[in-house]
Amino acid sequence: MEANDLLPLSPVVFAILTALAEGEKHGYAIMKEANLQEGGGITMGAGTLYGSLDRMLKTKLVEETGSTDNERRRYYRITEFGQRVFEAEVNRLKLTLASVSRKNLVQGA
Amino acid sequence: MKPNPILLFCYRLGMLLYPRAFRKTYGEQLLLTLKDAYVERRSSIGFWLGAYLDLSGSILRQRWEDAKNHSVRYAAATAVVSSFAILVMAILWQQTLRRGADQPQGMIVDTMASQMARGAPLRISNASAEMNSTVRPFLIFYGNDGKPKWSTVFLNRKIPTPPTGIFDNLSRDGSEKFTWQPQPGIRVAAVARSVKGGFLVAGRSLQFTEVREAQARVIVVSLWLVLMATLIGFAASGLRRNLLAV
Repeated sequence: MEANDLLPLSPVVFAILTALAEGEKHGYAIMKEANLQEGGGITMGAGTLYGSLDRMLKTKLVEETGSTDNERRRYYRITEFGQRVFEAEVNRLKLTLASVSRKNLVQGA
Repeated sequence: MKPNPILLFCYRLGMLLYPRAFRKTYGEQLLLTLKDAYVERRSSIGFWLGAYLDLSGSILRQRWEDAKNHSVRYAAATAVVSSFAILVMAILWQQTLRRGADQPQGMIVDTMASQMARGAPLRISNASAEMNSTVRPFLIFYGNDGKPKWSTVFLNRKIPTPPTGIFDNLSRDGSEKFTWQPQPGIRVAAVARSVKGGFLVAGRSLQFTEVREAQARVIVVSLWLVLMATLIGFAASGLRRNLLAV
């Protein structure tokens, strides 16, 4: 499967990849990061998070690190393939934004 | 601060609706994340409302994913449950139509019986009809010996007589509802009652009811066939997807 085959990413998947691109994190840390304005401003519950992580594990966008903390929280990290998909999505968004800017579709953009 | 134990217990109960494999893999992590999020909540009501909405949506999504991966199993289970539900619906529908067919006859018999009990003169239409050509309710009075005394309907110019067992039942129970077939092709919804001096039988052709029953059967069978075709299509698409994935 090629990175472009998975584009465009859903906002939740993109927010999770954005959070994990900084480094490995456990579930709640991903949720908090995604909720920040710079993380995508995505509010998601635990069910949505683990449902998305499950699908992302199956498509090999992320993987478990195998390590847990003293509360038994599992940690996740982005895979090489996940990183390529993430970069492809960022480039796609950049192209869209550049087009918006070039055509002056939004004032001040 | 710990989450409300009752709301947490209900949340855990709700988690049982997840597919088992998902629950086993992520159940503990889900609860840990939920508890982490609870610590930083802004309001308890908002938190639990959001948590339950998220849980509901997530369960539906995971069930749908699971159904796509095990399409034959889900389709078979849905076929069994829905076939049973459709069968029950068909029986209830048929019963409702059949009970409705007894409605005017019951009222006619009750009115006539109370008039006879009071000794009031009976107001019976002189017009009579052949049973195989009328769909209007009719009334027949039989003596205690089961022999017909008068009738507003005839069959082949004679007053029809119900099966003799009906009079035995009426003598014992006082009233009876039955489907009467005085000759092939004629079916009647009849209500009978034991009265002073004999037995009253009110009846009406089941012709219209049987047409409605046939229409109901067509609707139910069509619904069942559409459902089965949809489920077979769903199962086949799942099998195809799984084969392509291999």
